[in-house]
Amino acid sequence: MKRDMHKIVGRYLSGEANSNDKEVVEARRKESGEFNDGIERLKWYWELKESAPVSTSSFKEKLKVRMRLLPDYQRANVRMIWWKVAAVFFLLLSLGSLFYTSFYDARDLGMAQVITQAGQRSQTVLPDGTKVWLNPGTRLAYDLNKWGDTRDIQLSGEAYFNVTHNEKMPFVVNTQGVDIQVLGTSFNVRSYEAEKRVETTLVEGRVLVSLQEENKGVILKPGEKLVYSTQDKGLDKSRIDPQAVLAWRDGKLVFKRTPFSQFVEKLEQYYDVTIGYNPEDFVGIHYSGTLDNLKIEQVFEVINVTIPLNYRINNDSIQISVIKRKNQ
Amino acid sequence: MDNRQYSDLKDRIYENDTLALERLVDMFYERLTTFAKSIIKSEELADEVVMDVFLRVWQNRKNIKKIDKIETYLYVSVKNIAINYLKKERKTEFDVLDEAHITVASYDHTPEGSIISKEMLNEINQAVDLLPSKCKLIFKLIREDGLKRSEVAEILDLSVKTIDNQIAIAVKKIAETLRIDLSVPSNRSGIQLFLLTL
Repeated sequence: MKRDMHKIVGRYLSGEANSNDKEVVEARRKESGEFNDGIERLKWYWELKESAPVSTSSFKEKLKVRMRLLPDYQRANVRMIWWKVAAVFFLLLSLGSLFYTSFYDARDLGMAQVITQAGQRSQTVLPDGTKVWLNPGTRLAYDLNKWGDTRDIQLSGEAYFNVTHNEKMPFVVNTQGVDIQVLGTSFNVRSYEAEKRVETTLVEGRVLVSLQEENKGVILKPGEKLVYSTQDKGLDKSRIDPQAVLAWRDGKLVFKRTPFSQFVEKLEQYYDVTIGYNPEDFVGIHYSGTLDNLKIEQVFEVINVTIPLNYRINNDSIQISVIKRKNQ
Repeated sequence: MDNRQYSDLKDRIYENDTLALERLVDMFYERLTTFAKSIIKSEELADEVVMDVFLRVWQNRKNIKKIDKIETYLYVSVKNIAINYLKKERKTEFDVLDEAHITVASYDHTPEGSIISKEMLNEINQAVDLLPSKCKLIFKLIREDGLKRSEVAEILDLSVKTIDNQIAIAVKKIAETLRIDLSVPSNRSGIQLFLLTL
C-alpha cells in the first residue's frame, strides 16, 4: 500500500493520473493538511524548469552543411524523367494583345516567351492548360525542347499562375535563383530584378519554394507569402490576404496602409508614367484603397478624397503637390 | 505540441521543407543531446549522434509519414546510434541503463515566499543525484523532458510497470528529503483508500 501511494503520487505529479489516482490523492489531501502541504511542495519541485534555453544556431549551421553533402533527393525528384510525351508543342495562346513568340533555331526548338512592356498587362495559356496573368514589364519563357518532359518556366517580373494539375509532372517557376515547385495550384510570383527580391504568394494548394544555391526549401500554405531577398539571401514568411496581391490580375490596384513612395511606384509601373513630387511633403502619409480599372486622371480624383493634392498631367509625366491645410 | 502540429511538421519535411527540419531541431536539440550524453558520456560525441539522427530524418524524409510518434522515434534513434558508437569503440555488450551517466537538472533558484527553502532544494538535488542511474534516467525523461510513461517505456524497452516502480522510488526519495509522509497512516484510511479504489 505504501509503495502504491508513491506510484499514485508519481503519476499524479507527471500529469498522468487516472481518475482513480486523482480520487485517492484528492481524498487524502482533504483528510490530512500535512499530506496536502506535502503534495504542494512536491508539485512545486516537480514543476521547476531550467530557465535558459540552449542555442541551436551553430548546430543548425553544421547540420545544413552536412545536408548539402547528402545525395540531393529534391532536385532528382524535380528532374525525374517521365514517359516521353509525343513531341507536339503548342504555340502559346494569348488572350491578351501584347506578346510574341520567338524561335531561335530551326532544329533546336528554342525558347518560347511572352513579354509585357511597362504599362501593359496580358493573359496567356501554356500548352499544359496553365493560365498565366502577366503584370507590366514581365518576361515569361520556357525551353520548347524540354517542355513536355518538364514544366519549367523562367520568370522575370510578376505573374499569377493557375496551374493545371498534373501529379506526375511538377510545374516549376525559376526566377532569380529560386525554384517554386507546384503540382496544381494558384499562386502569384513577384520577381522584378530591380526590387532584389522574390515574393511568392499562395492562394490555393501547396507550393515548395527552394533556393537553387542552397539546400533550402520552404512549403507555403494558402494565404502565406514568402519573401526571399536576393541581396542578403534572407527568407521571410508571413500571412497575408491573397486577394490584395491578386487584385492586379483583375485590373485592380489594392493598397493597405501603403507608404506614399511605394504607392507612387506602383502607379508608375501600372500606368507607365513618371510621377514627380516632393517626398518631404508626403512623409508619414499612407494610402489605403482599391483602384478598380481607373484611368490615370480618375486615380488622382479618387486619391484627392483622402489626400488633398494638386496634380498636373503632361503626357507621360505627372507632377503632384500637397494642398497645405491651414492651421495644421 | 499536439499531434496535429507534429503531423504538419512531418508533412512539411516530407515535402523538403528545411525550415520544418530546423523547427524540429529547435524543439528537440537540447533534450536529445542530453539524452545522448547520458549514454555516450562525451559532449562532442553526443552532438555527433544527434547530428546523425537529424541527417537520417532528412535523408529518409520520404518515409517520415510512416513514423507514428516522431518524439519517441527521435529518442530511440539517439539511443541506437549512441549504442552503435559505443559498440564500435568497445566491441563488448553492455547495459546502457545501468551504465548511463545522468546529470539531472539541479536548481538553486528559490524566490521570496517559495514553499521550499534553498537548503531543502539543495538536499533534493543531492538526493536525486544519488538515485540509481536507471531510476535517474527515467525520472529525468518524465519530469524534465515531459515524456509520457508509455513513451519512456518504448524508448528504453521497458514495461510501463517498471517505469511506475522507478518513478515511485524517486518520489519516495524526494518525499523523504522533504520530510513528507506519503504513507497511509491508519487502518481507517487504509480501508477508505481501499474503498476508493473500488
